[in-house]
Amino acid sequence: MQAAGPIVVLEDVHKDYPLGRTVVTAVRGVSLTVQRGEFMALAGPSGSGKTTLLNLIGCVDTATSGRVTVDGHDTARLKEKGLTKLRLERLGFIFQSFNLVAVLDVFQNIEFPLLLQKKLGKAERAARVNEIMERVGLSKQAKQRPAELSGGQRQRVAIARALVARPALVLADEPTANLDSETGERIIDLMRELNRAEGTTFVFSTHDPKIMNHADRLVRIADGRVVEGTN
Amino acid sequence: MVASAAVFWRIAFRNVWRQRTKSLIVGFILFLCTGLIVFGNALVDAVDAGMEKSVTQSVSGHLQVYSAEARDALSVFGDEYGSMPDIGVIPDFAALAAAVRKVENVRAIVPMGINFAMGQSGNELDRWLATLRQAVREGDPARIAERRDEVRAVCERLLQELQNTRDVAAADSAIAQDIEQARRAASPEFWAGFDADPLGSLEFLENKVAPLEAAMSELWLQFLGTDLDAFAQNFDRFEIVEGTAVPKGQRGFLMNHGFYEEAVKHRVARELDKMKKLRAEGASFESDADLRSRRDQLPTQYRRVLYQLDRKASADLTQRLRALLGTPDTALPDLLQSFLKVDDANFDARYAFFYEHVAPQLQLYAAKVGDVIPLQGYTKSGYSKSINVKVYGTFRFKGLEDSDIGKMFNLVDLVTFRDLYGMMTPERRAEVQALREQAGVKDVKREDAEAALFGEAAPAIERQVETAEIDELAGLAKVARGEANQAFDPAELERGVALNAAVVLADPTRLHETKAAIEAALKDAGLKMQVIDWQAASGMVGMLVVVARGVLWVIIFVLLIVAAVVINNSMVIATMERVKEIGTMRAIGAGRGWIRRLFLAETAMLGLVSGGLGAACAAGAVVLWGRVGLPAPNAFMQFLFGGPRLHPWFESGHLVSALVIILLFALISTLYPAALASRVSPRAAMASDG
Repeated sequence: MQAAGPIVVLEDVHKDYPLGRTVVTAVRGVSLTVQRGEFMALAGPSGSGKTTLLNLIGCVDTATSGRVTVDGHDTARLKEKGLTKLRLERLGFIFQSFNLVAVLDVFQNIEFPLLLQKKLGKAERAARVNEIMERVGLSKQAKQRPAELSGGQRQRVAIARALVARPALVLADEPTANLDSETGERIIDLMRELNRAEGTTFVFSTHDPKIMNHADRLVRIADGRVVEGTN
Repeated sequence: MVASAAVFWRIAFRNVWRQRTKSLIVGFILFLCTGLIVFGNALVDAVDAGMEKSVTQSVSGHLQVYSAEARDALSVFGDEYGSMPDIGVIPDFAALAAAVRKVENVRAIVPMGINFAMGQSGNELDRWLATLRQAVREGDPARIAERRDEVRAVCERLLQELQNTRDVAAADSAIAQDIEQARRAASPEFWAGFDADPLGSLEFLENKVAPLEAAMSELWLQFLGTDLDAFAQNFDRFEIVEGTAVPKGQRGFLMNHGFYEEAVKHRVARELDKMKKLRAEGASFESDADLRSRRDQLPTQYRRVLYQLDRKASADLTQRLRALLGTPDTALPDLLQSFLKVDDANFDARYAFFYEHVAPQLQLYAAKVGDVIPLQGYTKSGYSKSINVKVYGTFRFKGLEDSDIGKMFNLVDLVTFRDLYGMMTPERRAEVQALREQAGVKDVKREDAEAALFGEAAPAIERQVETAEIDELAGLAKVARGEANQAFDPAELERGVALNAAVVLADPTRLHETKAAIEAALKDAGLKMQVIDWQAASGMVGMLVVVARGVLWVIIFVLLIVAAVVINNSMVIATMERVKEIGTMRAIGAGRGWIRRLFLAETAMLGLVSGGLGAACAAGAVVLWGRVGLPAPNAFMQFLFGGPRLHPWFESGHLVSALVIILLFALISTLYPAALASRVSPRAAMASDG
């Protein structure tokens, strides 16, 4: 099931967005390879193209030119359903503003991707969710709603949700931006720990130098180009 | 799977709950629609059944058979112009009856025919003239003088009424001539010369003056000619109110009791009855415009009382009214006018006084049970025909006493009907033929009549009349038998002609299959007849339920459209508000179909809950109302309800169809917003809050 080779390969990727009558180029000829098990940070100021790159890697957007290969799949050749399947089965997402489903409790939020996958029975799902809750330190909050949690706790829920289906790659878009620096560091430490324990590849964007320092590898982006850290 | 569905419905429920105001509005409309479907249809069903009872048990039966060659469609209650359609004839009722009776589920077949006639009772002048003629014959001068003064008074009153009519109507030479005759009859010169030529004067009064009054006492009535015994046996609502049924094998007339009370009864008594009824229903002269208008008209009717009183009765009533009204010197005309000025305070006393002291002096009904009345009708081809027939009794259709349609028909035996319509049995035809031969009458086609009469190019005078069943000369047979002969052979009922026939079924629920079986039987028997159900036979009236159901569905449809627009709008707004959440779900791996289903589930949930509530409330209301019964507010509704109260019943089919329709409509109106939501890009999840 797990393909060999790098988890992500970008080859001369460009991304243009129409903005009114003009065209904004967000990514200009980026080539980048992410190896399996890496803990990589994409750093750069706002508007540098970090989020666009994450979107391209996360199969939620397609490149204007160049090739994006994720877990062995050329994303340009996948149709909507294939992309959805890829996201569901191989990718995990952590968002800057957590994006939890407010009506569901912690357990249900984490369980959500497993329900969409429809692969596991109830008992297996419960075991998997309990295990990951323990890993992120939320066992006692299982029945709480997102609104009852602190920012850090919410992001832990998001991390657990991203990891519960055991993806090959977790993409995190500014995961600490909405947290105070101490909490942010603890979240990054948690991600790092999970990266080491599970071997899951992490790619996260940040503009916070403290956070960048936790990464194995730092790729700096400016004006849609990789300015440092490419291989 | 179960957990997946649980989360799915939980999210759906959350969204319904989060948009409570919108959900309440949409839910309320869906609640109304389902309620209306369940309740409205139960009501229409009940009216349908009520009307079926009214129509089938009074005149139409479950099915009607009539000629396939009819020019118009049969409509037992008349067409939209109030006239009777031309429905051809059933030439041989016996053959038809034999074929239909063989069909299973047929309880009875009853021959029928509907027509109009003018009923006339002798008028006041006729009655006074008869007594005057009697006095002249007896040669008693005192009696002659007394009667003469009565007749003169009636002539003066007639002149006055004719002049009043002329003042209201446009200038008309016919009225001018009538007035001239009446003026002569009321003039002192005429009466000064009466004693010199009493018989000549009487002849003038009887031939020239009495008909003027007759025209004012014409009574148009609609009658149904039928086998009266079979009718009474098979139409469950029929019952005799006064008098008796017409004996078997006798000609006879049964007057509709409602018609008797409202059209035949003395005008003043009728008005007082009507006011009493309106007051009993809670109206007062203060509050009710109709009642006020009747009150204001009533004193102008005093002559209808005055002119029916002879001298003794007049003197007697004068005394009583003077005592009642406390005006010792007032004359009777003024007394009557004062007496007829009623109000809320004096009405009950005046009503009682009228029936105790005035009514016994009057001819309360223009024709009453036991009278022989001349029925003047028109044959199919327009000839006027008159037959004297005895009124044996009055009847009503139970539960439909107050409805106009229940009061529509009078009943007459079929033999008299045929005579009035100019139709003959084979025996009669032979009888007429014999008379013709005696009298040297020849059969002439109507289009050849002129040529035959005036001898122009008439090569063959002796011809067969094409429509042998219809013959204006039928009356001759009656004349030949003599007016007094009111009996006929009961077998004649079967043998002759009818216009249409009512079929009463043993099991009305099998109406459609029995109709088909009858049609097949008629075809096999080679009879060119058509069969229609009671609804079609009741014409415009029968369409009422169809129209009511149509109106109901239009209202429901409009409500559904409103609901659809509101659902669509609010869901589109919801999509926009939830872009980020939808994007997140999409990013995590929810497919487009999943998002679409989520939106549809939200509407389905709203539809099920509010629709279910609406259906349950409506079902409860139907059951409750079914027990209590909805009172008919007026006579027409009584006809529709099939009686004084409507008892709707709950039909689970309506509940199911209501929920299905509501769900379908709700889901269809969510298709667009759901499609919109499913196109939200997972990229939307990445957008930062700031």
